[in-house]
Formats: sequence, structure tokens, C-alpha cells
Amino acid sequence: MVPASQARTQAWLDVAMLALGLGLASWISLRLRSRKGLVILSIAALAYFGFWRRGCVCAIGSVQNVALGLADPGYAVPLAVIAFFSLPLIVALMWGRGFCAGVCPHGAIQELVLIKPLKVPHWLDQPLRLLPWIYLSLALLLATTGGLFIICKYDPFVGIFRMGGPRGMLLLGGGLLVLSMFVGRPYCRWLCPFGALLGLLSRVSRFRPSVTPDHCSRCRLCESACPYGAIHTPTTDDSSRDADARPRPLALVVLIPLAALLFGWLGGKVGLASVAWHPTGELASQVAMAEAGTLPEPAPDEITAWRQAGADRAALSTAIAVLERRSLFLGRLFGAGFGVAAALHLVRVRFPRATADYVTDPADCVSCARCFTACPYERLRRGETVQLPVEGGGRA
Amino acid sequence: MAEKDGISRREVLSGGLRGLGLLGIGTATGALATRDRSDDEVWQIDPDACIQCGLCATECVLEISAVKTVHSHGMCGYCELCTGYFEPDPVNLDEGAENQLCPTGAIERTYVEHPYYEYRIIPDLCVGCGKCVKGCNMFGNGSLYLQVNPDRCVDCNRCAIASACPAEAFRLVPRPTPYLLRGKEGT
Amino acid sequence: MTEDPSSPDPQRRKVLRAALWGGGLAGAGAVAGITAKRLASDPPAPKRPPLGPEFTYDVTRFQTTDPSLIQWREVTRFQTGLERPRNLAVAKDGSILVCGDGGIRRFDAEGGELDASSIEGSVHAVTELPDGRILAALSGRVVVFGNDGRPLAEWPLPDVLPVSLAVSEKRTYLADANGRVVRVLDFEGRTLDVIGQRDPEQGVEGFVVPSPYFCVRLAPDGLLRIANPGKHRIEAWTLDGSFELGWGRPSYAVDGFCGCCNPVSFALLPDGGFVTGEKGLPRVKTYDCHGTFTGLVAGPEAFPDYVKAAQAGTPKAASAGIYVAVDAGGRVLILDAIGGTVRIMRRKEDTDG
Repeated sequence: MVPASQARTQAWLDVAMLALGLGLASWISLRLRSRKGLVILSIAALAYFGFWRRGCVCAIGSVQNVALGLADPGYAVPLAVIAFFSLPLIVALMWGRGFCAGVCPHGAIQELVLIKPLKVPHWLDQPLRLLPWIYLSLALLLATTGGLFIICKYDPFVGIFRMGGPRGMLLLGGGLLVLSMFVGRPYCRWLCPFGALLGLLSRVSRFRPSVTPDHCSRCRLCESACPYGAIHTPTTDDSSRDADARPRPLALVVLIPLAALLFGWLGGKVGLASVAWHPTGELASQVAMAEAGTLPEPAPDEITAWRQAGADRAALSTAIAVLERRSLFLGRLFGAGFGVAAALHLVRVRFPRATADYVTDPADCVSCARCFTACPYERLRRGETVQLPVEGGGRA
Repeated sequence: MAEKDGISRREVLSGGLRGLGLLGIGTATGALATRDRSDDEVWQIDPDACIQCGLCATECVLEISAVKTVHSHGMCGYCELCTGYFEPDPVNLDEGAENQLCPTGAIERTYVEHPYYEYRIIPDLCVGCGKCVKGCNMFGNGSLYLQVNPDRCVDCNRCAIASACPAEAFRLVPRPTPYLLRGKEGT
Repeated sequence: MTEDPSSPDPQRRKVLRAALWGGGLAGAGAVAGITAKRLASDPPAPKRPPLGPEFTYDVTRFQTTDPSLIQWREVTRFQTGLERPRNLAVAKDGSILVCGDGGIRRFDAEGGELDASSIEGSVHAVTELPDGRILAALSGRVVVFGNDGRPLAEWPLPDVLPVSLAVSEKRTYLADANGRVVRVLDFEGRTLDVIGQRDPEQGVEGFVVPSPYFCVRLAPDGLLRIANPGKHRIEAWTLDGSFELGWGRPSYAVDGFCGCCNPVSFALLPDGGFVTGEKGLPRVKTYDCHGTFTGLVAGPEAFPDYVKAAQAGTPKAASAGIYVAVDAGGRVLILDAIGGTVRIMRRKEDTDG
């Protein structure tokens, strides 16, 4: 009479595929240095995690489950979701953003449609990279206070993976996909909250890709090959750069507490306001409207259900008071967290590390391997016939 | 400061932060993974709390909702005039489309013996709007009710319908027993 | 940074960059502030399903009735105090017995509470024997109470769901919603006969009882009247179990019986007519002795809480019935299982004069 349940093996197959994908992506990008391998892996990831599993289970959304699990001791996060949260982060600490490179279907779909990359100037790209932190803070706030999962609700690509969905989301996904044809990974760079976390951890990763296998002639070919603005220009020959690098610790010491305080305060305000978004907050405002006689008839289903459950006014007020306290605290917490992340980002961009060669920025690099194929010394290593550029030619 | 010193200091700092990061992820993972759980859970509708608001048909992330009507045959009255099958005040008590309640024709009926009929839901046609459930609850005995079909459910991190459900009728149930059934089927 | 050191004026670019960063952060702050303000002052509009009307079960057109058809007026009403009342009866002395979950309560003719007997479980039906003892019907048993409210005996009835009781001088008639028959018992609980057993070979279709509503009454003409809810009929049966005649038709219109299984309850008026109670569309109506519709005692408008609960579709609420009884003075008593009240109704012509 009723169809049977899904087998439990599905979730473990997903985790196994994730682990395999992460291993392959790291190996291909760091050891094999093969762009072709990553493209094949991306297609496989898009097929499996995207179209076959239809975008669920998803590492990007898992941050919400984990945050809710940490905030609410009664909420048990499924083991597969925990694995999807932690494995990519651990890999990021060791080998960088291999998850973005060849496992995440969201990254893959954007990567594969990128046909004519246009450069986004740094002054626009870097401030926009603050957006994921805002999105992440807001998503964590809503997940922990009300169990609202906005990352999942407003995911632009699941509609495409499932070949259907609300028209607005499909339009957004389609629009983003068209944009991705000319601008490298707009979702990953300027929206993805999990990408922000991966980038942060990748800054201290153990191993990171080196553009050239041995020698850098500063030909700039890698920089123009990178669609994501993730390649640092050498700075050591510029003395003003060294001067810039000195105030870095000082800036961190000053900026972090300041930003934490400012955004913590602001976050508290957002937290309090978010109560209205919470189902209980919504119900309370509708009850207030009903009592004032301003609620349009017929009464919303929420009111009907509440009345049927006994219409307990006192319990509702208590619930709202508890929710407000919680939202204020969590709003301040996540606001301060955003402040710290923003300060770190600002300092990183304002006072870049001094580098002798063209190197990848570990936070922004998604290990797509485009720069390898562009580097003449890498091509030489592979046995291709190349005309070596003039030393420092790119910086003439 | 010497370049060499700077690099080695940076490496030490980076290693320390990396260790801290691993420790943090490990702690969070361990704390969450060892939490008491009945292995794994899926979303299901409590039929006693459901008010058939219609959001199951529209809020699911799937194009055609994973929520379907199910039918507890043990409870069913096998009525000739089934209020879950026929429009209110049908013209005739026959299978004519104008008499059928279901807008997608997802209920099939077969004659058993006078005056009894057996009703079956065709899950592929059912969109989970709950119209027939309302008809059965209002006039019959509630043997039709909405349930998440675990075969279709894609197991979202957080069920989109559960977030929208005004009656908060969604509950987490153990995956091996994914239904909240009524009547004989429920025991 | 991509800044080209060969740029003619690095100082100016630095200032420009600082300004952009400042502007960006201020912008982020402003967006957050505006969002906060918006959220606080303007909660999202109530959700409505964006499904078309063909996906909505709509019986509102049947929930209003022509006021000129309503021939009765409410005299008084009283709360039963039972959490889930399930049935009612009128005793010979004119007192009103209401049963439900947890026991039986007795009220005087104007609704003043007289006494109460408590029983573990759901009492589905109650009646008074000629000698004044009270019968309380529960799933699988009938409990007999003395005049003083103390339990005297218990009649075990395995697999029987008695939902209605009628009493003659020597017999108890018990409607069994589970077996879909009327059982004839003596006053000691022995089953003597079974009426209406389905037997297609003999042409007895039996009673169609899809939900636990199955009403039996003894009429002054010496025949049993038994509701056959699945056929939307009230039928006359002889005391020895042969079918005589029946009347009633399924319709949501006011003169028919709505839904899959109605009437859920009925009672006999002193003039030989019937008063019927329907669930789903809560309405109480009168028919003459031939089964011709004569008017309404109360329409759905009189039961707003019931309509709301049924509309919301919570099964527990919506599966509650509307029960009727008639007292010796010809007043109609209506038990609304959702409102938990008993209403006492009189004809308008009697009260107007």
C-alpha cells in the first residue's frame, strides 16, 4: 500500500563518493597538475552529486545543520551531513579547495560553462568577496534561532539539477549560469558561504599548488589565464610593498576587536529583527493582528492551527521572549564572527604577502589547474615545445 | 627582519593555526557524531496534526511533491459515495471526470460487491494537494491522509515543506519505519 | 593586488581604494540596518497556497441555509463539562443524560447538573432501563449503573462497538458499528438475536457503517428505526428482524443527507416525524413520518466552531458528530461534540405565542 523506504546505503555511498572525489581532486590538482583530469572529475561530480543526487546532500547547506546541532543539543545531525561538512574542511586545511575544484556540483556547473572569461578588476572582486561572509552569518543566525535554512531555500542551482522548481529560482539559476559563461564562478566567489569557510582554512593549508614546477620568469601568462583573480603579482622588487607588509600584525590587532564590536552590535539588531521571520514570531504578529481585528479573513492556516491547539497566549509570549533573548545573543555572536572575518579579509587584501614569483592566493584559488597549462615552464616539463618568454617580460 | 626568519615564523604560525583548525573541526564533528540518535531520521507528516493547507504540493523542492496521499484500507469504509473520491454533491455516482474530486485523476476505484468499492491512490499522479484528504476527514473517517513518500523524498538538509508547514505537522521519524500510518496499517 | 606600479599616480589610487573599501563596508552596514528595520516593522504577509481553485475542497456553498426554513429557536444551552462528549439521552423523569470520555453526567431539564458517574474509557451511548437502571455502552462491554450512580454489573461484548442504545419493555437494542448489526439483548446482557446481518444470498444487504455512527430507536408504532448511514437512509425493521421500508437520499442539498455516511443520529418527534443530526455539514433537520423534509432545527451557521474545525480538517475535531434527542415535551436537544454544549430547541410557533 505504501512504497518502501530508501536503503540506508545511499547515504554511505554519497560519503564514499565525496571522500573519493576529494582525494582525486587533491591528487589531480597538486600532483598530476592535470586540467583535463579536473574537467573529467567535474563532469563526474556534476553528474553524480548534481543530476543524480539532485543537489542533496550538500556540503554548502551542511553548515546550517552543524550550526543548529551545536546550538540545539536536541537536534541530531545525520552522520552523512557531518561528513559532508567536515571532510572538505579537513582537506582544505591540508591541500586547499579540492572540494571546489572537482567535487562540488555547484562549482562544476559554473566551471564547465565558463567559455569566455572576463577579468573582474580587483577593486570590485575583493569587496564582493565579503558577501559570502554576510550570507554565512545571516544563514547561521536563522538556522540556529529558527531552523530556517535559507542557503537551501535560495539555492540557485538545485532547480537546474532537479529540472524544475519555483520559477524565480530557476530564473536566478539560469541568469547566474549565463553570467558564469563570462565571469568565473560568480556563485563560488561572491555568494557561497561554504566557499568562504574553505578559503579561510586554505590560507593555512599544508600543501598548495605552485604555478610553475621550478622557475618563474614572471611572464604573467598564468595571471591572465586565471579567471578568478587568484594569482598574486610578485612584490619583492617593489620596496613599497615591504613597507606595506610591516603594519600587518598591528592592523590585525586594531581592526579585529573593532570590527567584532561594531558588527557584533549590528548583528544583535539583525538578530532581534529576525524574530519576525521565525514561524513563532510570524504567528505572534498574526495573533496580535487578529486581536486588533486587522487580520484579513479568512484567517491564515497558522492561526487556525494555533487556535485548534488551544490558543495559549501566555505560552506564546514566553516563547517570543525566549526567542528574542536567543536571537539577540546569536545575532551578536555571528555579527562579531562576520567582523573578524571581514577584518582578516581586509588586512589580507590591503597588506598582501611579499612574494618573489607569481603564486596562487590559497584563499581565492579553487585549484582549477588553468594556470598550470598556461605556464611555459610547466609545458616544458611536460615535454611540449615552447618558446620561453623573456625574463620579466610581463612586467615590462 | 630576515626573510628566512619571516618565512619560518610564518610557517610555524600557519602550522599552529592549521592544528587549531583540525582540532576545532574534530571537536565539532565528534560532539555532533556521538550525539544520541536513533541512527537516522526522515521527515514525515503527523496525520493528526495535518490541516491539508495545500503547501505540501507547492513547497517541496521537487517539481512534483514527494508528499502523496496514502490510504489505510483497514480503516476505509469502502463507501459507494466516497467523499474523498467524489465532488461535493456529484451529478452521478460514477467514474465520470465531472464527478471526480481529484484534479489529477489520481484515485482509482474498483467495484467489490454491492454497495462497496475499493479506492487506490496512483502515486505517480498524486501531487499531494490534500483535497481528497479534506473530503475524507470532513465527512468520512480519515482513512485518506498525506504522507511523505520516502522513495521520492530527496532527504534535504532541512525539509522545505516542514519549514513552511503552518500546523507544524512534520516530525522526524526513524528511517527504517518512515511512515506515520493510521488504523490497522499503523500498528 | 593587480595594481600596476607603473601607474602614474599610486597615491591617488590608494586613496580611491580606501574610499571604495570604506564605502563597501558602510554599504554592507546600511543594507544590514535597512534589512533589520524592514524585518522588524513589516512581518511577511501570511502565506496562501498558490494552488488553483480546483485543488481546494470547497463546500462553503452548502454551509449557509435559507433562514426561512429554520423553524426552531434555541431556548437555552449548557456546557456538558465532558472533555469529549459522545452521545445523549432523555430519562423518563425528563432529566438529560450525557455520556463521553470518562463517564456520564445527568442534568435537569433546564441544564442544571444533578450528578455524575465516572467510568474509565469512552462511553459511546447511554440509556435508561424501565426500572431506572442506566446502561453505559463502551467498546466491548456495557456497564449497568443503579439509581444511585454505583456500578451494578458489566455485560461483556467482545468485538462489539456499541454506539447507540434503544430500550423496549423487555429488550435492549444495541447498534454495533463494528459488526454492522443491531443486537437484541435481555436486561441481563444475554444476546438473544442479531438484526440486519448481511446475507446477499437472502437479499439482505445489511447496514453500511463506514464510521462509528449507527443510530437505533424504538418507535411508538412498535417498529425499530435504524439509521443506515452509508445508504443515507432511515429504515424501519420489525422487532424480529425483517426489513420493512426505508427513506432518505444522499445529497448536499438541504433535504438530503450529506457526505458518505449520514444521518449520524436521529430521534422521533411526538407527531411521528423525525429529527436528524448530520456530521460534516452540521445540520439538524426535521422530516415527517413519511420521510418528507419539513424544515431545519439548526443549520451550519448555528455551529461556527464545528464548521471551523471541520474546515481545518484536523481529523480528531472533524470526526465528531451532532447528536439529537427529543424530550417528552417535544423539545429537541442537540449535542455538539466539538463545542461540548447541549442546546435545547423549541418550535418558533410555540415560543412566539
